[in-house]
Amino acid sequence: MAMHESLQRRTLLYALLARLYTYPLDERLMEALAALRLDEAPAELEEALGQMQEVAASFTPAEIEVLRVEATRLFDGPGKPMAPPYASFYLHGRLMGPPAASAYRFYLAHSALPNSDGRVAPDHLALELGFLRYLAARAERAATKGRSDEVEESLRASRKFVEGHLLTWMSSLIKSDAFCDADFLNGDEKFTPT
Amino acid sequence: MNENEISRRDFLKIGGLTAGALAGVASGTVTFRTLESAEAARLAAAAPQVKYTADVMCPAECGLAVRVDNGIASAIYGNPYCPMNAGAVCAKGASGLQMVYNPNRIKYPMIRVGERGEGKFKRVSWDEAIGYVADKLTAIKKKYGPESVIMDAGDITDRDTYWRLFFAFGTPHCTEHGSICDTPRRHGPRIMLGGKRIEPDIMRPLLVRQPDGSLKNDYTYKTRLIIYAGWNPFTATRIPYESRGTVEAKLAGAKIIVVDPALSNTASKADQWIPIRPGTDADLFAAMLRYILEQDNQNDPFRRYIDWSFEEYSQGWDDFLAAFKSWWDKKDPVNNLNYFSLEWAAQRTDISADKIAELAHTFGITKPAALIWGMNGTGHHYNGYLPSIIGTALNIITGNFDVPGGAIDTELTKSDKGGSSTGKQFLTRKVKRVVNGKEVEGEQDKLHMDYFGDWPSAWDDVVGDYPRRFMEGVTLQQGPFRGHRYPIKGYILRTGNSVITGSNTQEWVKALTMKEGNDYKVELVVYVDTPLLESGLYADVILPEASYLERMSLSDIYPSHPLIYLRDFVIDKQHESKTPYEIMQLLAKALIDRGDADVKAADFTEKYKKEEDFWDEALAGAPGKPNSGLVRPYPQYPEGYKILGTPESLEAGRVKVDAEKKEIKGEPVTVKWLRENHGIAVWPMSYYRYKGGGILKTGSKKVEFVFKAYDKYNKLIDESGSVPPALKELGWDRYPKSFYWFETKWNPYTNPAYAKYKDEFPFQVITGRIHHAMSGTQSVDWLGRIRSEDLWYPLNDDVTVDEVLVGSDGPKATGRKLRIPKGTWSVGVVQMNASDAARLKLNTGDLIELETPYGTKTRGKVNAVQTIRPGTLRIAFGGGGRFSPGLGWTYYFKDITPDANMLTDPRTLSPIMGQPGYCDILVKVKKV
Ligand code: SF4
Repeated sequence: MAMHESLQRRTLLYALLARLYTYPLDERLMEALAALRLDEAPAELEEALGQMQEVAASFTPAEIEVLRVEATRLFDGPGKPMAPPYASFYLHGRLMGPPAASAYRFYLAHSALPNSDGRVAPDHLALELGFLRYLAARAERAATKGRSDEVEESLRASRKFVEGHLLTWMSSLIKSDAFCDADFLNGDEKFTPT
Repeated sequence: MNENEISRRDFLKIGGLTAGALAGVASGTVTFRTLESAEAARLAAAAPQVKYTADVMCPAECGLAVRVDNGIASAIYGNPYCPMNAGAVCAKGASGLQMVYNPNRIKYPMIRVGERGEGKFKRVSWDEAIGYVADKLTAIKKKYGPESVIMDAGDITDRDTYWRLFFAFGTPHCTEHGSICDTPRRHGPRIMLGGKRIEPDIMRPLLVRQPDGSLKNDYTYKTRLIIYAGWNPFTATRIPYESRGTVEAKLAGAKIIVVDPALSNTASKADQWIPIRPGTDADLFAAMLRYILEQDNQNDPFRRYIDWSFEEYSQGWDDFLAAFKSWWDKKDPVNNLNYFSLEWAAQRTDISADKIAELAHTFGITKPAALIWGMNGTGHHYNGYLPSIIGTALNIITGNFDVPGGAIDTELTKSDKGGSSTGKQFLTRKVKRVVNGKEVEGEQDKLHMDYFGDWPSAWDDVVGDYPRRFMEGVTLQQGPFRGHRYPIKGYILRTGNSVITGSNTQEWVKALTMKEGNDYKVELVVYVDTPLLESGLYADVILPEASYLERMSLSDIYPSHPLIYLRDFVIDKQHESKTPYEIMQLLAKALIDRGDADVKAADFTEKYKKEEDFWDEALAGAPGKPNSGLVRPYPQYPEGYKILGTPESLEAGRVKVDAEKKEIKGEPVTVKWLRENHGIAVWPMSYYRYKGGGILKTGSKKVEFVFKAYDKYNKLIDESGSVPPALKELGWDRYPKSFYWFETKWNPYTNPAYAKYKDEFPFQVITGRIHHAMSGTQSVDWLGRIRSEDLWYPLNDDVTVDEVLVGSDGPKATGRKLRIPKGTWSVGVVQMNASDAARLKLNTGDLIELETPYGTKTRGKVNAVQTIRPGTLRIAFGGGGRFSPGLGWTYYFKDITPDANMLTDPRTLSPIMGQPGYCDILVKVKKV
């Protein structure tokens, strides 16, 4: 497969992952999820995706509403959410701690700025995944233009961010007891880190 | 692997998703944009920071972690390293940015141009404002003496800079909010332990020394029972861990009992609510003590109430017991029953005798337990000393004092701070005055108008008595300057609002506006603060103080073990405000320039080169506690020695042990050290800290059941032959040696002198504290939308008003109309039992007028509910009649909200400490 194509798919995958942690879950997302096919994916990934797709394919609007409520309970609150999707919460015990600042600095170090006016904490899972999507898209554009050094730089940044930041807390999020009975979100939680 | 190579996992083949689907999926997610590298570098340099500081939205002064984006404070969180609040903030703390960035903030120095109270000012420069104040102070000092000036530093503990300057100036009168807060409540611990505030052992985490010598945070709750009498930590904070800790302790199996005329937030979380008649807490405690003494049986495990080991570390119990028992055979004229018997207490408290017996038994048998009494419930009555003394005794004799899960005197356990930076050393300077034609010499503090006047034992000053002193002047009754007369001519008020919270509002207004010829009798009134409150309207000069995110100081409040934390610069100073330190230095310089002989450059401008120097000096004595108790905080060092220095250096052994001074001295705590350690220093916990004297601060280093603390006041009386008027009122000629008893005022159920008012004035008024609605924070918009405890309720009328904002020259109409729809804004209301309301044909929302037997009145809307006992009305202290436009929307409802201090009897000042009787009020009710 051409580099360009693979980067496009990478962009697509991160976009989808970021969207999964962004309110509100909706029909379009369900359709996109149901349409997703992974070739040659590891078994656990296939399984997690399968779990989500099975549920996603049959969602009625009313069920999506239920899912939204459940996602709100898990990630947004009111009050303290069951599974706060912030690195700081797991690494620092509260929100907006040093992990948030370091994520923000990481973005700036790669000349990227979230278009969120500071409303979303820099270490929110959706933002971190959005950043990976941004890097993938940047690499994809560079590949199209044949600038391999830029591709390399973006991919290096991506790896560094995943290893140095995202993976340092994702497992704590997954291990938090909060995960509910909803098969869909359960699948989602396995799917993202895998 | 080459980064450019894409692994098999990267090549996950994604099929079935089109570009269109991608757009759909991506919508709503946060995208990123690419920055120019210079812009990215600039932003990176200003990346979000977390700064540690301390709150002042209420006096709990929680540790805060504030997020700062590009120099703007954008969110307030709790500092997780501060055990006082352990990372939590309340709604009020979280909304502090509305205070800091409030459009009504005082922005510039101002000088009055109209009459006092009119709120007409002109904007001036700092030079002009400070020059005005310095000129006036110099003139007052020359004509009347520096003792004619009062520095009242209000409600926040970072008063040291102001006190230092004014002590140096020569006045002994540097005061703070304490005297109008809860002095009777603190009295028992103060005279018996040398302490102040007894709280349950529920501050978590506790830093605890482990058997292997390491230190670990302990989160376990050991208490089995907490009785809160008239104490509502869920709204009346100061001890922020108490709300959180009460819930956690309950989850861990403790029983919570709340004794309160109203179903407070705390009562709503309790296992049991006992709605006592207002002003009878002492009666309940006395009956509990008598029951425990009479029913104790050391051979019966179910009646072994007393832990006699307390005799080892106390003295005078026999005297206390004899004085207490001397009442048992006397009959109370109110009900002809024997004092302190169950039936007697039942009759007075309106709690059944069985219930009182059960409460006494439960407290006696449950260990560890804590009996806690509160600010409003007990401290705001004329005889509020009694529950405080009896409550202290109950905690001691049942073996609950300073044991795991028991009752801790948090004044004794907090870190020392201040030291010489407070300027108290200036108080011992020798000064001369001509008294009755004779020159007399004495120390500066002997000029104090209370300690050597009408209130010798009021060691927190008598702010409630100021209006009288302003109008009548001072004649010293005791000490070397006995007979010396002087007027009060200067009043510097900083972060306080005495007109609303000091004592009776009308008296304050009268005192501040009274004229002598063409001039005001009090010649100089200065108001220093961030918000513009009512007292500011009576000022001649207004100085904008930097908000709590823009200044420095130290907090220690009331922890279970020593800790100290920094209030630090979080953002730049807004508008033209200045920090207390800067104001001290400016005014010091201005006084020096005017030739003041007492204020010296060497003590101010030359001594401190920067703000940090001042606070480093204040930190030099931290923590200053003895190395005592179990487990000893530092087992490797000698027992009982004073501990000084950073936790880190003490732990690492970087210390000097001085056997002569009995000191263990590590590296000093400094601002720099705190900044490098999340803003806080925490030293280890221990219990039984009274052993060998330990933390006790009494003269005997034991718990004193004989009140030796009063000896020095009796000595003054002996020397002068002049008995303070408040003692005379009680029929005493000396302060008592041990247990004493007297009735509260304006209570027809316990004091025969007031029985005649029962029918015409059928309601007792108590004041509840609404956390949201403290004097200054009513300007915070978000808090006005939150209801609280049936006292602060969205009962506002639909109004369209002319918007008023505080501009550069005081409050001004903006020309805009402001509509506040009905039911959208919480206002102070009158909480009334629904059965009383029905009887008076009143409905929630009806406007009523409350009138006292001495003719003072206030108005408010009825909130008819079940959450208060019949016959009792509750109104929020400082929650109504707020007439400063600087308060935002609250101001527009000043005519329909009750001001409790319109009702406070100006003559009811409790006899030992001079605290106003905020909860000794009787009223009749009329529909308006
Ligand atoms: S309890 Fe007081 S000090 Fe603590 S966060 Fe709330 S307002 Fe601030």
